[in-house]
Amino acid sequence: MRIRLARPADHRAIEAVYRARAAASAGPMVRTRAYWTARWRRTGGRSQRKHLGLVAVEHGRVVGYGGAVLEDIGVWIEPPLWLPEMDGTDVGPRLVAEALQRSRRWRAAMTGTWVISGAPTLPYLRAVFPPPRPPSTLFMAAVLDERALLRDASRVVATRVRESVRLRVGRHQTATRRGSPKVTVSCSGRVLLGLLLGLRDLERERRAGRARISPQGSAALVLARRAFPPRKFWIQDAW
Amino acid sequence: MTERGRVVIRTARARDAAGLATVYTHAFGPTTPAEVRRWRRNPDVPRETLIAVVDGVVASTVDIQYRQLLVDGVRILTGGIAGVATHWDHRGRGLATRLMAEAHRRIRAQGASNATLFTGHALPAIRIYRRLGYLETRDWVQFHEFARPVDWVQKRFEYRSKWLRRTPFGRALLEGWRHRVWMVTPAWGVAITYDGRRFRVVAGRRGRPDLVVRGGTREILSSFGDRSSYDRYRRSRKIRVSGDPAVAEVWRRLLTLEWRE
Repeated sequence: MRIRLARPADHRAIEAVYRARAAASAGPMVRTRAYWTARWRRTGGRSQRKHLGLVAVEHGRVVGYGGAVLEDIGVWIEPPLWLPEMDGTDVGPRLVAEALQRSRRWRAAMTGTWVISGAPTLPYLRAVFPPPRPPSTLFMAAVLDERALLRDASRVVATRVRESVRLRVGRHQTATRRGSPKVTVSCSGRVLLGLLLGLRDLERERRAGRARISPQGSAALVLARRAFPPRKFWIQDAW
Repeated sequence: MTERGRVVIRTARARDAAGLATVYTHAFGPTTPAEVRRWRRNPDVPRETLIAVVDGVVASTVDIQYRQLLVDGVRILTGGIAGVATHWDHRGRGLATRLMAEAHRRIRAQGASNATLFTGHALPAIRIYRRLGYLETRDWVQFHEFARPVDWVQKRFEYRSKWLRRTPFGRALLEGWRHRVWMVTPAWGVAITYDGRRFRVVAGRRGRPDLVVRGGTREILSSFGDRSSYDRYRRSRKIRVSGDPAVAEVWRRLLTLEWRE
């Protein structure tokens, strides 16, 4: 694998990396054509002097991307993204290292980066940067409509397990498929939203009594865990 | 504070750009009507800008961005809340809360189950968000490496010079404030003065200071724009401040950009 500067010909491949990553993660945003058009306009032409785009290439195929942007107060390293099949490789650390090295030419007063806690690049960033500043910025989410939330959760769980799972929030409930549900997961709307976005872990919620799984027994528990697997939170490219 | 007038909540129109620019300037930094028009012209996602108008003046605003989250590739509509800002003269009247309630009503009407936002721990608005049910949270982790801290401090005070005199709270805060502050770390130090028009930042310990702020590079630089960090470091004595308490109080606000508790 090698890291090189991104070219306009890589744009479609970069978009494909984002789509593949988003399809296997909890929390990224759908990127519209308008977003990508604006992004390529922003990072191309003259603005290349202020933007560094990198791609990781393996066997001639783009498998990840990253970069850096020069702003008034300093350089921001963009969190890298890579194909799910490259999980466990050093593609992320190498993209960050290359961005750090190449962005030194800007001789910025400050170099920084932001990632959501739990991001897979966090251990590497801890190794290459001084200790992070105390938490000052956060992501927040609220449930506005429990029935709509059950519908959303039902669609997601249906893609994860073939069996029918009943989801219950307060007075409302839904089943992910037709037929008799094999397991019922009951919790508050808030907990369900946290599980859906990867902010909460089912096992921890169950132990704390904030999520109930019935019937009791290992088969139901295994099914519930498949419905809400531990997720890596990955909303870093969200806004 | 102006007299309480009739509050009208409605969707912003093109002609509200100047009013929105004023509100954004009070809340976030220098913003021109042309910039507001440009943002509103090219949205990358569907959005609605709500405003509260008091006596014909744009007093508060909330932006709703209808975004789609992906969970294992399944699209989930979310009402992204952004640009929550209130005119300085209309703060503390519950306008942002009323706008948020209206935003939630509209988001629900679009079929979204949830609303999401990004904010700061030290921002007063976080109390509104918590009260409205924004209880699922996750922190961002910010890493910084300062190659030239003095240059960075200069840039931060250039920004303050540009912004603060354009705001009522900045003008009130800086009126008659003519002091020299030293920021001193084991590795570097700067003297910061305000001459009534702009801040000047020079390397080294120049002149006779009215206030001396001592600490480590990380502690001092992390305090820029972050009241909670600054207060925490002061309590733990990682930042030590000596000098007139009145000067120190204004300094705290200049540094952290915290205007009203």
